[in-house]
Amino acid sequence: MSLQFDCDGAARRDFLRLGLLGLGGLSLPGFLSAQKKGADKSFIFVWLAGGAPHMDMYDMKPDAPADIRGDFKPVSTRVAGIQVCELMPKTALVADKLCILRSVTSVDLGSHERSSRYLQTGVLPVPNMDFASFGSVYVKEKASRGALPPYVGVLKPVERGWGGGFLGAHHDPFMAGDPSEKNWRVRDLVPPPGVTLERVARRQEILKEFNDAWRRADSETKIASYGPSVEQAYSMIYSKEVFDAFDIQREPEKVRDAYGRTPVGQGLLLARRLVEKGVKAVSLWMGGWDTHANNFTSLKEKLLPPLDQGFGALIEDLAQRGLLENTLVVQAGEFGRTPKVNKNAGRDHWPKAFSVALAGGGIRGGQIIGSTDRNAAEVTSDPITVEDLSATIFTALGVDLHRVNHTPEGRPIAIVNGGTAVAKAFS
Amino acid sequence: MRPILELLLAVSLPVAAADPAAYVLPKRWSFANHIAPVLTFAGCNQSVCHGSPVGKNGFKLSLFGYEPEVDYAALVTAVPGRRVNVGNIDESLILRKPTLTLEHGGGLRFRKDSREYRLFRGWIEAGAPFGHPEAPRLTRLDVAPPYRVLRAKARAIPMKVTAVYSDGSREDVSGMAVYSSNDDSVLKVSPRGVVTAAGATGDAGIMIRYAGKFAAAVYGASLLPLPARFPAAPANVVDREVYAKLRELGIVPAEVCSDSEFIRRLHLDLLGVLPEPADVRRFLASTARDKRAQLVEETLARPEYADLQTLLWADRLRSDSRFHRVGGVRSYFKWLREQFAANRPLDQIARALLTASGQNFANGEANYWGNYDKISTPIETAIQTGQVFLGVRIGCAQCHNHPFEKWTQDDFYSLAAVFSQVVEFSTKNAQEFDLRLEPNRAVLHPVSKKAAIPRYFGGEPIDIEPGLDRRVPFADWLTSKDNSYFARAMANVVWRNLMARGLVQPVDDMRDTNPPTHPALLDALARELSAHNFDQKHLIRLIVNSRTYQHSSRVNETNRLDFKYYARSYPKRMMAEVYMDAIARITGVSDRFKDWPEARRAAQLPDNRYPSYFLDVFERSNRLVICDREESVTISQALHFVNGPEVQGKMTHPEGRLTGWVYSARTDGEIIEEIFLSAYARRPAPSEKDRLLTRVAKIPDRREILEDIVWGIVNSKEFVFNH
Repeated sequence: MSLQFDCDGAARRDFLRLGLLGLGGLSLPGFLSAQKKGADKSFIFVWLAGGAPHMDMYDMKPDAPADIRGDFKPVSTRVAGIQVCELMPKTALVADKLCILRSVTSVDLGSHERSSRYLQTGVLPVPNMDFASFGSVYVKEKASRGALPPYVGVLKPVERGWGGGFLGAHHDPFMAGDPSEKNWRVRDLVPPPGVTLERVARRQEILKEFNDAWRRADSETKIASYGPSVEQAYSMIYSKEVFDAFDIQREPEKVRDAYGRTPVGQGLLLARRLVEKGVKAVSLWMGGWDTHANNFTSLKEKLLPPLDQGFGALIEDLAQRGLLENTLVVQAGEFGRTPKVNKNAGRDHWPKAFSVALAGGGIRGGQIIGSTDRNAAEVTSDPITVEDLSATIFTALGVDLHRVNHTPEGRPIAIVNGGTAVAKAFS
Repeated sequence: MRPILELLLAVSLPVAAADPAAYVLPKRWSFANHIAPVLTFAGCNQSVCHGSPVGKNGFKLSLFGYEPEVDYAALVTAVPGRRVNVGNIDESLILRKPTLTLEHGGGLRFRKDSREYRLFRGWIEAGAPFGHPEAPRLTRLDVAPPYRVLRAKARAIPMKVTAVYSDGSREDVSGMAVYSSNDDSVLKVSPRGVVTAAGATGDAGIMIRYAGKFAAAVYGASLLPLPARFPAAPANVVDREVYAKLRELGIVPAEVCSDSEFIRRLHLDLLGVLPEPADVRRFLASTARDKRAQLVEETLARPEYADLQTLLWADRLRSDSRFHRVGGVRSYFKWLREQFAANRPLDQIARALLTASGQNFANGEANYWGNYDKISTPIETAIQTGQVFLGVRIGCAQCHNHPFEKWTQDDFYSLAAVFSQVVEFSTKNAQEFDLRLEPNRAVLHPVSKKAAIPRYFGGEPIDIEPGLDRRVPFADWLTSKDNSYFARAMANVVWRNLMARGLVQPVDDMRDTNPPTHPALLDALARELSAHNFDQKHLIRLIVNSRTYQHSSRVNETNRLDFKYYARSYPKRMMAEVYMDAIARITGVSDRFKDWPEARRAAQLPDNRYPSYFLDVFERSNRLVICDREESVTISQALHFVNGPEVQGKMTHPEGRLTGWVYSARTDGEIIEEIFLSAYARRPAPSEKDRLLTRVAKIPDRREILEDIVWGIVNSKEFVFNH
């Protein structure tokens, strides 16, 4: 398995070893009141690590000069007036379910690390603490039921910002790994070779005897957390429900093919499966988007085909299964890329203007919000700050925007710092 | 831990002050003295409301009212006639919104018949003046009474807050100050400043805010009866101070831990390795009166001491193979280890790091200045130096005056300016950095846009010949015998590493509003360090020879809920690297680290990003922020305990210890005793041994059942925790 780097030298953390795992038509206030009666939402966060080139995907500028518009052409989608890159045909087919934000605007924070933290948490990063990712904030609000972990991570994160931060490690996503790998299984759900389930049970008994004989300071969180976590682990190990939920082999081959036999394809399929089984939040991180060199070759050969296929399949699949209305899907990266192509046929970082795609969870599909100038360089209408995006996400998920969480030292942290939800996204 | 700030949310009001009709309005209005405090009292300038970095609904106030000029402008001049309307007073939004005459996102803040309303209205009637420029300014708040302990629920402490002004005048502002308890399970404080015991035992801080200033007071509460008998404290300053506090709070300390617990704990705390069975047998059998003190000496002399200190310091210094690259972390580790192997005084270590120069692959200490294979900015260095050497989280003051401490944005930039001369010269090797000085380089203060004046932290400007390295006098100042920051910061970290909790917690967050649990003890430890040449081993020796360090972790009725006063030993989770090494030690199968031949144990691994799921899942430090390692047990860890391949692999290894035992002539009883001594530093109790032997007898595959027993042991709480 190769390591992937972005231009800051980030290497993916090696989590994986081979183991034996539309509300149509409501105004925002109307939407919010409908929220209260509706079912619990789920959240799928598709993260394009490195920063995706917006003008080569969702915000094409065919009339710009050649050294800005790049190599690709736009194509029409099933929605009149919406065009996307010609290399995204499956995304084009589900355009009626997408709300494309073309006017997202961030600030230059100088590094992938800081921008990734910003866009995954909605809060400007500070040096001495980590804020919580959208998914972590969300699952903290929800009581978790059953043996399935409430928040699951698929593939590997590249930069910080993906976890529970100051909320604590128990709000981190449970890492599932890469379901496209041969014989993939979620790690540690299954005993190592030579250890039968009978032995697992015997070991559990032995462990219990040792632990029962040793009683110290059970009031301490660190000791107190041991028991429930071990219990949850065993319930996951013995739970057919959990095993099945992660058992992607149970999906028909046709479906697996439709998503594409790639990490992102199978990862998105797993996300759909988990959400269907009751997991409340799934984050998937796809690396490789930091195309400072050979932007067009990378997009054409490595990045767009698997994403387009997987994402298009995901949206279609969710819609067909009646899950889309209660599942918010967000596709975003930490920033966009420079309009002017550089001398290595690449694009560099561009936080000033970029695109984010939303679907489901009450978002009205088939629309574009906001616009950029002829070079995709500056936002020209409906600017959406990162805080606005955050407010939009939490609104769709039904989380009170005034919610305040506390660090262990008692410092209050608002989940949204002054953003306003984009009303048009819901109407 | 409870919120320091009491959030006054939509429907809860500050209690109305004394009868408003009886309140006499000021004759000479001063916005800063009369109106600004109301903005705080009514909760307008909280960080989640108008005090947020972006304000709320276009109305932005300074956080907690630090900048009355800014607040005055926002209220009066920013949008004339809107928030304050002198011509049509009742149209003023400041009167309509907080009283809910108009819709207000923050809800009802005060009623029309309240003193706050009358103050605002009276001030607007007087023309909403800022006040006479010569009007006296608030210089400080005095708080009474001094420390005392509440011993009954019916008792109360009414606090008195006196505002002291620049002209010497004093005013009782008890009724208008904002009070909050930093632990309301111990002490509750009413909006009027009356402190009562909430039930839990301990000390708690009360923070008082008024007109942009704050003060703190500490009181205790103990509803426990004073113990009839209390063990006498041996003559060691640690025990004297700890026991005095325990006696005062009525908490009975635990007994002294067993010899087994002591040798295991000491080894893990000082060396990061488990004691060998032979050493344990010898120690348990010894009848020497001072055997524990002797064990301390022997342990401090062992080479693994330097390894563990290197790991602990590498965490705090954030040695990171991504920032410093392989060459950098290798040199950093090598340099750090040399310092601790030689027991180099801490002040010399600090000085070497702070005044380093040259290329970081060759000069380990230069790595202090590195970030993303280039030099850290002065801002980053200021934050790091603050936390590591001053024990202060100055980072908050980068953007605004620190909310709970006297540090201002000026203080922050003056600290950053000390480090602004350090720049990078490019090297042939793109991954290495080379730090040199550009003596005239400055840091711009973001507001004045002028060069910030470099100062000794909280003190005088650094006045040296132009062209000289400012870091040198700064390092001199930092490590001088009467510097109040360095010795305390170092002592606090050493204490925390041994005792699981700093006397100030978090360890690098020292401020008036976060006082030490044992102020006199912290001072005493700091003095021990500075009087003994900053010899870390000396301080460690002092602490581990105390009865306090040697408390058992068993709880009794009164110390059950003690988490701060050291009435018992607080268990610590084994660090990921130490846990990995412990498993290797017990199973007799070492780990190998590709590309790192110098690392024979995980604790010796310079590369914090060496790919290892085990180390990741057990929370080795990510070193991207300076913070304590997470100690809760997560589901992924628990799954890894149960099904992880490492333990299984090592137990079945053909050259492992278990294999050796199974094919040896040892009896099952001998094997079990050996495992217990390795893992727990004790022999099994007869009942334990019998129970296990019964199991072994029942299972035909002897190897299998022994594996299951070892598995159980290395995953048990008694093993995983350092207790």
